[in-house]
Amino acid sequence: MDISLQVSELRFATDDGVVVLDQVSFGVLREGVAVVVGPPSSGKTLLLRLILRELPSTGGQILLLGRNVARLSPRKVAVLRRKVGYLPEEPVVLRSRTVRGNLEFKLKALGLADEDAEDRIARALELSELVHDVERPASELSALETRKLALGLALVTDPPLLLCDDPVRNLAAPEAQAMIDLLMHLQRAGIALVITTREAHVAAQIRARCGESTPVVHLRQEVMA
Amino acid sequence: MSPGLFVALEALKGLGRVLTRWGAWAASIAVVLLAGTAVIVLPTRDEDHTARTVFYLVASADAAVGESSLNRLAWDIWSWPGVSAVTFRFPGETEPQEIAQRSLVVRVRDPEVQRQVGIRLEQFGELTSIDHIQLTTSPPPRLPATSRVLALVGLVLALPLCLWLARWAARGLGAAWGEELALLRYSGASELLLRVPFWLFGALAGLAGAVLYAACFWGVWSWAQEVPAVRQAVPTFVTGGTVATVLGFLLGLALGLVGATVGFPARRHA
Repeated sequence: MDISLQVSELRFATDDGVVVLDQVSFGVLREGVAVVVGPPSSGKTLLLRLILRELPSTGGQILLLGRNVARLSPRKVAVLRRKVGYLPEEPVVLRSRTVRGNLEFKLKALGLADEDAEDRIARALELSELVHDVERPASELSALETRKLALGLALVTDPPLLLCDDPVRNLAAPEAQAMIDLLMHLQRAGIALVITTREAHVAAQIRARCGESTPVVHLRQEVMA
Repeated sequence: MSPGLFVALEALKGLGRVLTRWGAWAASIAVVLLAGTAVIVLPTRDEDHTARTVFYLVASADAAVGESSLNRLAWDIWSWPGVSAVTFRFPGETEPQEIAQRSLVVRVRDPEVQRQVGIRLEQFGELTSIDHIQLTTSPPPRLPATSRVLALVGLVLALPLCLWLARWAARGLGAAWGEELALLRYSGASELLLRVPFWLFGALAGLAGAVLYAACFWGVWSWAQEVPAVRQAVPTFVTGGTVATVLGFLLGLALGLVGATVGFPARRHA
């Protein structure tokens, strides 16, 4: 059984000794889903940044795509990092470029503009449901479409694992539902997902659709001094 | 195309949006280089500007006197008390006076020595005439040492201003290129790759500053060639132009790269 991500007894405390995350454990199978639920400032984004090794944890272990991120050199972290898609809470897109321009920019900047680039772009457009918007400027996209473009940017490198930081935040209910449907589609397409949310009903819906074995991690609101 | 080159060229497209900041930074680099040059070429201490009187005896030698005899005589005179130097002059020379025939020019310490040496020279039959000469000269005016202090103050003020402008300009580029920067960061691009456009931005500012500096330097240099008073006031300025230019470009480039490194908007850890 392949495991995309295994987080074990993860702990993070600030330099001031404030414990933000403590004893956080969960695993994500290949093509599986994990949901992290927590109120604002409970450490959801921090958890994803720890997984991506943007910050070092103060305890516990993270196995990402089979590698212990704490033991990797910065160079190897960068290589591993490119194999993981990341959908930030605030979608980051290049508003002065078209949808295709956004995807091409990322591939060229990462040195991936090879003969497979067109296939990568086509797959990302299909997975993010932007096939018919390929030549539209990003500045003209709606909130949902902008989020889809951010998703396409995360997927254009064909990552086996996608980290989604509160993907339905600030979306109206129909758009949020469309976003959840899209993420479920990605999961069925074989991409493992870690989804953070502050909405308990979102976590419940994802669990209901993906099965009772889907791990749901609850982060607490209060921090311990 | 390599990722670094692609990112650098893409970032340069945003240069137009921060041209004012970039231009101010380049100008400040030129000011730093000019101030540094002034610190080097301006006098380190005030020189004595009082007039000086020098005493000479010009002893004309008989045409029949041989070269070796005249040479021996010169060494002999140089050993006398109060004699500072003995040199040869040939017909046609003009220092310290018009020379009509081979002569020995004896520089002495003071008028009393001049009188005594003159008496002794008259005893030599090989010498046909002895002239007593007294020349008073005034050194050319030099810039005061305070001018160098001012240049030093200028350099001390210009350097932090240059770094501040570098930070300002780099932040401007960071803002103009903020979406691309954020996207690359979220994509796992290395910090080195993210810094490439800023280094290129800084290198261009440094080179532009150096060009500005070289233009100012050679402009003043050309003017100084036409004005003897300037050459006299700052004699060290007229030499080393090529070295100053080469150094200017190297230092300009270094200032640009340092400024870009200092001004690079580092990731904020929330």
